[in-house]
Amino acid sequence: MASSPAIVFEGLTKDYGAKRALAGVDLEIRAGEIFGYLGSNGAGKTTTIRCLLGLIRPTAGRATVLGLDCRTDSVEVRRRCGYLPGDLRLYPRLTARQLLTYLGRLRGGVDAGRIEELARRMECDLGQRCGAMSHGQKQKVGVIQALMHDPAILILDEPTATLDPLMQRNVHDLVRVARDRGATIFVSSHDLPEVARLCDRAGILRRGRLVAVQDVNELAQQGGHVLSIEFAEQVDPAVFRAIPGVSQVTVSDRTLTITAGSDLDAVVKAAARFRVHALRSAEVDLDDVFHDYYRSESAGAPGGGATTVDAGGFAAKGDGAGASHGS
Amino acid sequence: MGLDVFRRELADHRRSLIGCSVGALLLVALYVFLYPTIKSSGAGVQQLLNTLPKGFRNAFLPAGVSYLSPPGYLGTELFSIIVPALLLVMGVLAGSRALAGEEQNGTIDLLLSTPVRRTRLTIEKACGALVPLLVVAAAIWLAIVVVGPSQGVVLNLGNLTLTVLAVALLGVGFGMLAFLVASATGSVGVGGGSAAALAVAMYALSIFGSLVPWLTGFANAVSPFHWTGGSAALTLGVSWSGMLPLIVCPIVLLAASVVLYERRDLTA
Repeated sequence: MASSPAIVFEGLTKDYGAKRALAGVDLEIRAGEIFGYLGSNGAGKTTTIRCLLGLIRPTAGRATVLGLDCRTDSVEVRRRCGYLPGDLRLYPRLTARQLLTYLGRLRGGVDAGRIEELARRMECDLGQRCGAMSHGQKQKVGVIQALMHDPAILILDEPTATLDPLMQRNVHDLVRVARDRGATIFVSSHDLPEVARLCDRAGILRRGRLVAVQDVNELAQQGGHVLSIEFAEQVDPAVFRAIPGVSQVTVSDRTLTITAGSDLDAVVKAAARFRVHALRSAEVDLDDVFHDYYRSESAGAPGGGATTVDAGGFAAKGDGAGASHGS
Repeated sequence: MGLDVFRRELADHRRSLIGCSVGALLLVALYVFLYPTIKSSGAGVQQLLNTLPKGFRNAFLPAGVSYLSPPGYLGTELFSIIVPALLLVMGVLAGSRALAGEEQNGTIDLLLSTPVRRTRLTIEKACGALVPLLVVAAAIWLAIVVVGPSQGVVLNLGNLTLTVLAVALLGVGFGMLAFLVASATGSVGVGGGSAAALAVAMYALSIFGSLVPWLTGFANAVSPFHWTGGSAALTLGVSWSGMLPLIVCPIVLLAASVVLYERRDLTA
């Protein structure tokens, strides 16, 4: 994409006392993309977003939105953003309509028809008082207020965490519509399937550091393939262990399970020396990749080497993803 | 974008505003209707007052004020403690909650994700929280003016207006202090608590000031309860040296709130 990036973080750092919540995040979000910001709770996702909106000030580094500095031009940044807070709180005494009108007025006026349209789409009763709403209903109001002024930048902090699957799809559809309209969307999530379905690219945040930024498809492929090959006879797993890029070789009875990189050629050729009954292949899904980043963290071994095999055999973790840290 | 935050804040105080206004009206009516009875038993009351030690008596009924006169009576009964306390409590409660309450309730993220300047938010919130005090004060003023004459309580309108205004500004001042501390710390409790503590301390100082001669000068200069003229205000009016700090303090506190809030990291 030739256009300049929509959101830029340059060495964004935030300390809370002695605790470093964000440690030099460098990231560019392209205009018009849906970017997934992945991380477990406490990784620094919300801290990043709150810096973006000027609710807190970075200790070092800076963030810009459409070229506007998030500190010095905060008001203009917020004018261009729609934001759904992760921990959404509404005014209990106001009805949804009163709340949306209030927030709309603070934005200089929002078309009432647009609010009604979104409410219909989200099946949201605008006449209900926010204090009487369930979590999911509140979340719908939150989604509406984030979208109602058709912002150029949409910032969603865990948008669908409390919604049922149908509503999740509704939200995803609305997000895609916003993207098609030209908006850039920044979604934080700890929910990988959601990011995989919704996003174009994703960044993984771990303890305030950005450990990977990738195309969602590439990210998924990083773990390579999990192959399960059933042979007619017992095979020597050492044959497969010797192949570069192969890890987590296990044999149970006559079935061999391995994790291979994206190049399967050597594996297939090695297997061809034996009589093969069945061969199953699965891509390591994003979930596994994601957990790898955390697993290697807790194991204290950044990078590959550690072999972890779940009970049950057909699960593979480790080298494939771990080896490409810091990309 | 016209004063939306201010109007929202004001609307949030609608109920307490109505409640306090009605309460104040009833209170005023009660004391006004008691006045003829008090006056007819006049000599006895004055005798009782005379038995009190002089310094102690002066604390509640300054020299030159007759308890049995309408301004002396209402000044002592209403404006020495009850009305100031009512407005002060209103101010501290509303002031501490106005901005810090949004932070504690977690609604500030939503509010400040809109393109509203923090300066504007701070000013509109403070005004929305404390303007109701002026409304209640006006209700008190009106009640005295309307109901008073029927019971022989006729007051100098200038002194009454100044007294009510001074007492309202006292509440606004402590309300602004609560607002400042609460918005600067993000804690409603810290803001309300510190303002309430200071108010109690200042009230105590003004009492001790009239009891202890060497403390008098200091207490009179420092205590806002002396600035309002206390129970003598209805009789003697409010001095400019008292009115001025009552007006200036809330403005200075608001300015300080704006500066401090502008720089804060808001708690999630």
